[in-house]
Amino acid sequence: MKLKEHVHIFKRGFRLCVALEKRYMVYLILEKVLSSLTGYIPVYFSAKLIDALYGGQPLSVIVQYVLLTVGLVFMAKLLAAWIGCVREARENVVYHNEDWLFSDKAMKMAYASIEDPEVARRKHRIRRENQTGFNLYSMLYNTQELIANGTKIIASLALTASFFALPSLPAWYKLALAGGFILTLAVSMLSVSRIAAIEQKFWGSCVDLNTMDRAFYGYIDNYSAGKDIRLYAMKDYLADEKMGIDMTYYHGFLKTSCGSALWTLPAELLKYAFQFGLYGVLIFAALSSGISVGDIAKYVACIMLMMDAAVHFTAAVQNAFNNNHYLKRYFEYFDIPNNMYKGTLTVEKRDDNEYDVEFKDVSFKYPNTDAYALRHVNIKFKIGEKLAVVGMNGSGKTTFIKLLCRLYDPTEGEILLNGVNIQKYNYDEYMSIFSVVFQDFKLFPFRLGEVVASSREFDAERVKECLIKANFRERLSAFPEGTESYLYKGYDKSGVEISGGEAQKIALARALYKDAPFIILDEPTAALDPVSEYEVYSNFNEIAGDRTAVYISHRLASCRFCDKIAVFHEGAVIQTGRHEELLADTDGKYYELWNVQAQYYTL
Amino acid sequence: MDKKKKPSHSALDNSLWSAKMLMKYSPAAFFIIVLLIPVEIGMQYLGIYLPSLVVSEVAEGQTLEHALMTVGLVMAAMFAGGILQKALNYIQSAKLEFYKNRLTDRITRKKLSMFYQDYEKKEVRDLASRAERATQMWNHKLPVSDIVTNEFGMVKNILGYFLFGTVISFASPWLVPLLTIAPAVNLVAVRAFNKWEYQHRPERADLGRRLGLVEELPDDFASAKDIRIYGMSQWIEERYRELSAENLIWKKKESIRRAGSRAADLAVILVRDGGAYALLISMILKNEISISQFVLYFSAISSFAAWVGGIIDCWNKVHSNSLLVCDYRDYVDYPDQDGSGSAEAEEHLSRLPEIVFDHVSYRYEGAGEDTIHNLSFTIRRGEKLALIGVNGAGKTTVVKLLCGLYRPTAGEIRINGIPVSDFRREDYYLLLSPVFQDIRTSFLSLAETVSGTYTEKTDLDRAERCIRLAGLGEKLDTLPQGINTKLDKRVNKDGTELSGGEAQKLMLARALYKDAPVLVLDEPTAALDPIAESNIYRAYNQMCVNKTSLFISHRLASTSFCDRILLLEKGHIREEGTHEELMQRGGRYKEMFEIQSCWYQDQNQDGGEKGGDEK
Repeated sequence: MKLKEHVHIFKRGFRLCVALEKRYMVYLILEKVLSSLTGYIPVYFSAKLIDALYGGQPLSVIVQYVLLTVGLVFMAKLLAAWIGCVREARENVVYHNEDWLFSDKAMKMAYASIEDPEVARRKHRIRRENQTGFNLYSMLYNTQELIANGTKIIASLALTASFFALPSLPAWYKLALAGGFILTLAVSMLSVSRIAAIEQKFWGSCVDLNTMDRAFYGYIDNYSAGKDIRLYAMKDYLADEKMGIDMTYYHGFLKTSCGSALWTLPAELLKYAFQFGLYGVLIFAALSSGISVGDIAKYVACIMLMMDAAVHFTAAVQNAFNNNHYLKRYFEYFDIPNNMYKGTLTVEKRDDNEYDVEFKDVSFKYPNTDAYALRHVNIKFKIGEKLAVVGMNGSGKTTFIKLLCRLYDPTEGEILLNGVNIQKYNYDEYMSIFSVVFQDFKLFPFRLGEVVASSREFDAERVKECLIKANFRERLSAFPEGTESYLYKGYDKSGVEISGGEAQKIALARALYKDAPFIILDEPTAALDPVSEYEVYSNFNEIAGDRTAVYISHRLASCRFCDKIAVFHEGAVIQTGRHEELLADTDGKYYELWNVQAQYYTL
Repeated sequence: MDKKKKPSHSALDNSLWSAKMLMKYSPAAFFIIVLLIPVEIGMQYLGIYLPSLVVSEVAEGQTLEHALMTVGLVMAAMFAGGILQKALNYIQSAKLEFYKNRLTDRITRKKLSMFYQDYEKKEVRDLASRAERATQMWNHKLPVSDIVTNEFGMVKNILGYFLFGTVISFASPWLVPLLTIAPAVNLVAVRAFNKWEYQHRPERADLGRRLGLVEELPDDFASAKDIRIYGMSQWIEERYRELSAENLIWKKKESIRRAGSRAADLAVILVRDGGAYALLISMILKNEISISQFVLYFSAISSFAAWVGGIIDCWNKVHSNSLLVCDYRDYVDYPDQDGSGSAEAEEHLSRLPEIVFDHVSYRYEGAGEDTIHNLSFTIRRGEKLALIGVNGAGKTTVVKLLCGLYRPTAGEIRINGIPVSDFRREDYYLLLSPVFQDIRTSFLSLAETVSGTYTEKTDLDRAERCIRLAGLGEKLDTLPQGINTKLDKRVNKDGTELSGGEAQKLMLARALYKDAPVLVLDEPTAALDPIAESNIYRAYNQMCVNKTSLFISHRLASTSFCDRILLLEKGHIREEGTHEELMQRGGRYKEMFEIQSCWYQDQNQDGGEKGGDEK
């Protein structure tokens, strides 16, 4: 990375921190400057005090110094504590707002990116790096280090300037001190950066171990796995594996610790040697009446503080450079474009629901895969028609729906709405014509009304109507606060727990509330027992009304109430027609699928 | 409620236990901790002694050589101590890691081997996760080692207290008790804050939980689809903003209180330092002490509070860590409720077993009624028995009882006439090859999953044969590393992911590999398409040859290849017989069968109406 890019990324990171919670940054800077300066108050005044005592000054002067030391320290610390507390209050907000950035991105990125394993890996990586202290957290930490140590360096310089200006001290003493300072500083910096590098390398190598460890616990803490482990005698094997993970970690840690311990040696040696030299020069100066006794402690303290601050300052700079590589990845993730929003056409609102959708020679490959998930699909939806989509696992049924709802764009061919390619429409507008109950639908643990309306505000009457249509009337009466009741206990402890079948009904009510001209049901009976399955089948036509409906299933029995059936096989539509027509073709896939299921029931 | 329960071990007992464990697993860490005590105290003392030494050298007008000599000696000692301290601290933390690993291993082994019925209990799970917290780094704290470092920390602080106390008492003996009491004021303020924090912890924890929950909502594939189709992002954002505002209010309240507690602390320091200055200056003015002594005493007074605070802090930490160490010990020593059997599996492995459920009842802990009630049946040698029933009928509980994962509340299960409880637990497991309904694959390789052990100990040819037999051959051929391909892509970069159906087949392959005399298959085909479902049925049929087997399903049609069918309802047997017999009887079985089959019956008839009649 070039310096210009480093500066650019650091600035962007800083701006982001400010944007996350403006006042936090202000308080952080104030607090760090103040608390860094506080340390110099006793250093400065105790030198004065010792000199006053030593010089036999009047009591009033002595008392004045004592009061100044104690009082100023007290006030400065009190103020710093106050600002610190206010800052801490906002720290949590910063962290949550940062988490929220990820949530927000997840909601705003193209669906294709959500399912893209590469995007998921990138997100995982930067989140993990976040947890190990890089990215934004490191940004905040570096900022505060730079501020605190910068302040200390300036304060130390201000307080020691008088020493170096001392005329009675031979110049080569000063030069030797300056040289010693620089040498010690250089070695300390080297040692700090070596230790940081060693540790970073170790933590880097732990990322995989941590993933492994988490997977291990995820497995052994699972009830199902608990049964397998016992019945298939996996105890010793797994325990040894775990010990292997832990010992790998231990050996790495031990090596890192020894390396770090070694690197502290030269720095410590030089630091003490320098400090000894410093004392020597100062005692010499004091004995030769250049400086006072009190000044010795002051200068030693200031110069050693400056050394420390300089080491930390450069470490922070180094850290910031280092962190920029992480931040770069971080921003790259947030910069992933969403191509779904290029269209601008509005979708005409029509009372007659005359929305004409057509697949024209559509083929599709999932990103980064070679195999076609859909091949040359041609389908035209007749308005108000009930279409059943059937096929084996992996035949492309769900992919077909994802394309229809524009969660993905076709690789080849096009999908038309009223004769216009759907990519030309405004995305949100296009979405408004579909109600979908996906097989793996999700209900959020908020108020029932919110969930059905998919919004914070809802029309309680209409919510009730839709729930009743979805056959939820009986269960609704058991909700203590009706549509105001929370679903599940996850968010609100007084919430109502529901079964999988009930959740499915609510998901259906949600689809009805949206009142879109297309209604799509993906495998709605997979989790249901025979009686509930029967209910869904018999109510389907009533629920769908005059909407265009698509029904996906691998239980072929469900096809009998649909107007048309499309049989998917290996990504292609191989048969279409009514149930009777398809069954008449005894060489067809439909006939085969039907018989495999039916054989058990026709005895 | 739990809080009032007396801990199973006292803090002293736990301290001794931890020290013993540390001595056993990592004597190096033990000796380093002990060695560091005098080093750290010495460093503290030299730190306050050096400035006063310099003052005295200069003030007393010593020669430069003399001054350099004395200062040099002190600094050389500090250097030696400093190096030792830094280096030993690094080594110590690594050695403690080793100690932690050993203790973790005991939890892991306990978890992997304890009686399943206990393992599944919520209280035991909670105990396990608390025990784990004791061995896991949390906020830079590791309870099992912190208890040790803090008990030695207490020793260090007490010694430091006496050393510095002695120094201060040279100035004025009554300063020591005064300085000992001063931190108590601070303690009161801190306790008030902690109490407030503790009282409001549930609300704040709940708020934090809800925030986390809302933040995670957009994070999975399923909700991502719903969010887009139903335009939910604004809704979720509103929810987040509301919580975030609520959170800030809490944090502000908390920080105001914390600021109060810090202010009290600062006030104590103000009084202490002011008082110390006044006293020492008056002594100087009366010529009772020299200026260098003033410097020494003043530094000693300023740092004296740290020793007192250190004692209190270490004491508190020993106690708080002790509670977690109790959890650890309680879990590791959790009694084995089912480990008394001694019969071995050896002789039963080679023959077809007969299994008898003799008036078996099972009631889940805390449940009002039996899940299984007075259930008696026999699976004859080599028989294929089907067990069917709707959800909640108790089928899975029967499987767990048969597999020795649960022990009956009443009655007895016998295999070849020997009660299950007479077997050594791990020996009994050898008799069964189950495929459970709830499938969970791991991060191991295909071969390792199938054999349940290291690749080196696995019969790879046999593993591959079983995998192919289970219908995974096609998948296997697509994997470059074959049966050594690891599962779980998140963990293993070159790994593979299995679909639900493939995982199902892998579990089947594992049962084949084990080749135990009893085969147990719990409903496996819900997520499969018709052809895969049919193939699995066929494979099962082959597997059952020369085995005693139990097959569980709620798709009734699939059971027709079994020798006998038991219809389980509410924990007892409602009907029993072959498919034909049960259909002829015209009972519950026939009714269920017809609801399921109505859609597939005569094509010219309207399935919906017929199904309706059945109801």
